[in-house]
Amino acid sequence: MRDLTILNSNKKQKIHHRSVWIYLSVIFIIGFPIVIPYIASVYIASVLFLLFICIGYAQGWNIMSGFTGYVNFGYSLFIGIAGYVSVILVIDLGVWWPIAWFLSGVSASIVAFVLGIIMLRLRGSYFAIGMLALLLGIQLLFTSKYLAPITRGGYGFPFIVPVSFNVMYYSAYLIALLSTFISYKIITSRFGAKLLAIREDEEAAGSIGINVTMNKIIAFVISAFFGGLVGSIHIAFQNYIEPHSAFNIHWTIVPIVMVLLGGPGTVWGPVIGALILTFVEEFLWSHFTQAYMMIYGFVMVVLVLLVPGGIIEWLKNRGKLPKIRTI
Amino acid sequence: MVKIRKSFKNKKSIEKNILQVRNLFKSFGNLVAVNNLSMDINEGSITGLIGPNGAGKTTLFNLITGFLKPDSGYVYFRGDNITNLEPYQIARMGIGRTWQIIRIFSKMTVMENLMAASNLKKENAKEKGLELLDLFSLIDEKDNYAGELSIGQQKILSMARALMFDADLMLLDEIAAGVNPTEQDKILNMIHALCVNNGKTFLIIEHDMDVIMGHCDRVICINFGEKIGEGSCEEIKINKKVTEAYFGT
Repeated sequence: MRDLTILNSNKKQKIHHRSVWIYLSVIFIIGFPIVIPYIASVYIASVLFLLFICIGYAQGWNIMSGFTGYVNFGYSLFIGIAGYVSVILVIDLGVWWPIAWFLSGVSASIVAFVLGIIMLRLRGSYFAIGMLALLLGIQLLFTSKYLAPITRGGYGFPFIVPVSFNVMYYSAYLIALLSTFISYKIITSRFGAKLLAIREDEEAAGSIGINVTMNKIIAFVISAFFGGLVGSIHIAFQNYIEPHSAFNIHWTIVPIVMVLLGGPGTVWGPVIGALILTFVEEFLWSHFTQAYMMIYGFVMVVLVLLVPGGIIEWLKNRGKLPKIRTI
Repeated sequence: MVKIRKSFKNKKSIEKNILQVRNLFKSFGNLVAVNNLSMDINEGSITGLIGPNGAGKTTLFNLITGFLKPDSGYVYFRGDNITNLEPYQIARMGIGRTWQIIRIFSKMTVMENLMAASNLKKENAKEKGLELLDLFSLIDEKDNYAGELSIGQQKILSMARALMFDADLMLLDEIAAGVNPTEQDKILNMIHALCVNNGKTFLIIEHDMDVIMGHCDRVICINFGEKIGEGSCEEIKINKKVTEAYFGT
């Protein structure tokens, strides 16, 4: 008996030590980016800034498409609309920038709500293609003369945001943390379970009393909010806005690839995907400028072939990670 | 027996219609799937729905649960017209269903399957889920993916999922088919227990006549979308039209 209790207490101690290490490493990982702008070069800070932007985009895309399985090919729509809203609010109307960024996220959500009512009647690939068509159509609308009095048409316009790079850096960092936290909150809630049920079998979800359409629209609205919020900061960083760059399909594809690589429908998948792809892209771009897109594509193909369900799923299936939702 | 919702204590005291189907008609192009069908289901009863393949049994289920809209006719649940409601609204009124092919959420854990079906607060839902899993002896599997369960367990889970939102009427589509005899007995005992102790009403589609004759209070037989017989098991056994539909003589 005594031996047993001793064994148990040792075990407890060990677990305690381990959790201390986990806490320390979490504090380090979260705290490290805070000091980066003061100790590292501008280049490293800007790479990290891009990483946070990508995490925000990927988490936003994942909340809709990873959880419900509705692949959204029109994600840049929200980025572009929020970008225009924030720039017009700050430059033309003189709104204080944090409020403008927040309002641009809200405006993206409103657009998502209206579009969701119409588009979420479509299923599967029809939704994906429909959103892509909408993205291209709205991009064209912004280049046309009809909106030119507000948006300056297809030429776009340069602007100077009255905030420093550090402010943008910390804002992006905060939103990356927030979006991950919200994703965690959703997946552990009953709302998250309902979204996953929709992904698994939409009809069966309806048969157990889930209001499928409403849940999809809510997820879409949250997704668009993060897309828009991050997008407005991203566009502020670029100091120039025109329809082609604001509604650039590149920023639809990048979050999709990141989420698919990391693990769709997981909390940490988008983070892992963004981490890997941002650094791989940056490395390739700076070392093989000529062949960078070619190698990037090749790396993507290899990764998708090796880990089809995403890295998180791959690790879970091999017992390297516990099979729980919060990871 | 754990309390699920004891709305009715004794099934014999209830002789009320929980579900009324009136002149239901549904066609797919030239094919008439359900033809002028009317039926009443008593509260707290187990009713069997039989008929040859393609008779329109599953179509009837889909019409009742709102997955298909009838061309004409009405469905009343507890006196309320539910004919044109959405499937989720019908489910929330208290009609649960299972499918012929198993449609649980296989990439979600057993517990998550139940959580998705509840409209309670998270803690209460969890408590209720644990109670149900305990009742159905699935408690050891609660954190496993539902897709890893045996076929019988998956069918039980799909029933538990309907109980999670307090369905009073359960439409079970071949719940006992393709399951080993031990699990089949378990499922049928469960249906009886839920019926007697909790006043749940069951409408079950089944091809196995032993199951129908041994467990149902009443049997309804349909063929080519029309009701060709209705009554107690004994009445159905000697019904000429029914035997004709099954054996062609």
